[in-house]
Amino acid sequence: MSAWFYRNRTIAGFDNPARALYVSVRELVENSLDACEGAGVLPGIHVSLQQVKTDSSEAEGMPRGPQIFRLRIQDNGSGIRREDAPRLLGRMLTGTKFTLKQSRGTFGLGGSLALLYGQITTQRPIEITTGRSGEQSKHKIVMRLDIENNEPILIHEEQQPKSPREHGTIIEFYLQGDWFRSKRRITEYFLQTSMIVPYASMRFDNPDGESLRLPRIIETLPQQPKEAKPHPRGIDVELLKRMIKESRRSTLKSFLSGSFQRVGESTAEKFLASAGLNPAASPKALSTENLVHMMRKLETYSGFLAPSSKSLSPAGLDVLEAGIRRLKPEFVVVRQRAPNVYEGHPFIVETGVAYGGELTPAIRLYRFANRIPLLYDERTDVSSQVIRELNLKNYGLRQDDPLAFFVHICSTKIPYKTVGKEFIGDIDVIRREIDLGLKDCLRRLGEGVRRKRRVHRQERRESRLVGYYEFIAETLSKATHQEVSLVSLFGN
Amino acid sequence: MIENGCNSATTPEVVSLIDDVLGTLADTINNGDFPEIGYYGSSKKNVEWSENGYEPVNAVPSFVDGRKVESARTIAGLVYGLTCFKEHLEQKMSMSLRDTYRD
Repeated sequence: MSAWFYRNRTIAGFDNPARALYVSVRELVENSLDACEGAGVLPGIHVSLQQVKTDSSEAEGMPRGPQIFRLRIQDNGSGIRREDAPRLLGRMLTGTKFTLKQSRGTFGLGGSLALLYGQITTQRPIEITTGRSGEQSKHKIVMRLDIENNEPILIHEEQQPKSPREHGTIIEFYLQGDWFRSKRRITEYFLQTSMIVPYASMRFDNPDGESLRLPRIIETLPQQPKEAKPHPRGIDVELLKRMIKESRRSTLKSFLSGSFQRVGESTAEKFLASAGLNPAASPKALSTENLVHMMRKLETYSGFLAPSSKSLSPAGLDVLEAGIRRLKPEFVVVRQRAPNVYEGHPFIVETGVAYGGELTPAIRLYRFANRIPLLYDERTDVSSQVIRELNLKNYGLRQDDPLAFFVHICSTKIPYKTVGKEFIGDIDVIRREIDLGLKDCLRRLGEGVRRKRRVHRQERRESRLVGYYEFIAETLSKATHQEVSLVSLFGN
Repeated sequence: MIENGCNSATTPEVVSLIDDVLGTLADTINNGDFPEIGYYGSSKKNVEWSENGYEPVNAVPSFVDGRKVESARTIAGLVYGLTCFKEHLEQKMSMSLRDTYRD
């Protein structure tokens, strides 16, 4: 696996030094957020990116090529057990992310890929310091990755004393990057992440000596998703084969009711009858033709209930609103749609629209998927397409109004169009949910904006009226030689 | 004051009329009310021509309601115009354009 990545790293987003630096920071921050949320701890993350001085980096002005950086990420998660640390971080595909549960990563690869990229480009080892709550010491491990054998190689290990209350992980490694070209993107990543995880406190020290501090603004962690069995409509033949291989059930009926969510004995019986399969047959004895036939029937059978949304963890309206408030808008409206399903995968769309305040006069879109900000390829994303088709006039708004749209999709499988996890494909049911969510927000926002404009018009009218009467009173006073006061008319 | 179909009045009478209008407006404002001015607009529908000149027919007054911004503007113009006329009359200036715009 490591060797494969070594040869195909462009596919995972490590295609140039600027993007590789951004992806590395992003993947490790997401790992840290996952670690904290998984442990039920409000995340506190400190990222430090420092340039290592080399001869070529001393040149004045724009750097001529990629430079070497030291990336250090510290979190307050539950920490990693000493024996698990090298395996979890130094080996590809060791994560537990093949279960059906909403998670930031897709394959459990990201963090390890970043470390591997660092080693490939700098040949320097990786340092991991991790400590768990209740323990008297923390472990510092210095290691390398064996690319051909996909195994970690320990170089040095030591124990350091710590307070029993202290917990978390520090990862420190060197990598090649291009800060000049990735600065804007990395900074934007932190700003947008702080919007979708306002319960996290983050600090980013950049190579220019600046420190971006994003304090926590809400003390509520979203409810953690629960692991769920796959839904019969969300699988393929290969997964079905693997499930059958691992299952101990002896009959098709018990296999279906025991391995899938939303399938009880009665539903399994009805399905098998409609598919013409024998409920008492052994699943392991099914031929490939029968498996394909069963798969097709699973896809089209209408008797299954929709997948459970317990495996999802939406941000929640309070968290989303608190995050949007970081932009200091005048109005914020947030909505959460009811759970829905595409291709057997449950998903929830959360939308928000902000108006006025410190927003600049233009339309801005913020996209999030499973609490990750999506920064690239905005125009091809489904949310972008929905916004382009909105008729803002219907809501009393204009294209040049200070407006910001927020779309957060959480699902057990986000339909990314590329491996780089940058934009979401145009799937009808997702498009409709985004459209309805945004329209719902706009309706509410439109009322507020119209009310505000009415009050503004009223104030302007009153101001003009008072102006005319001041002139009338002054002219009358001079002409009639008597005091004409406006106090009775307008008060003081 | 109507002679041969034309309105005619002496300067003191006109000044007195202007004072009445301005005084009424000043009192209305001091009493805390928005002024409301009724007037008979002239159009083909509500006047008839006879040898004595134009005569009102079924005249229904229109009102300038001082609570509205545009009406307040009209009243401000009226007050300004009347004070200018009064000043002209008191200083024995003519109503010619030259005298009107001499300031």
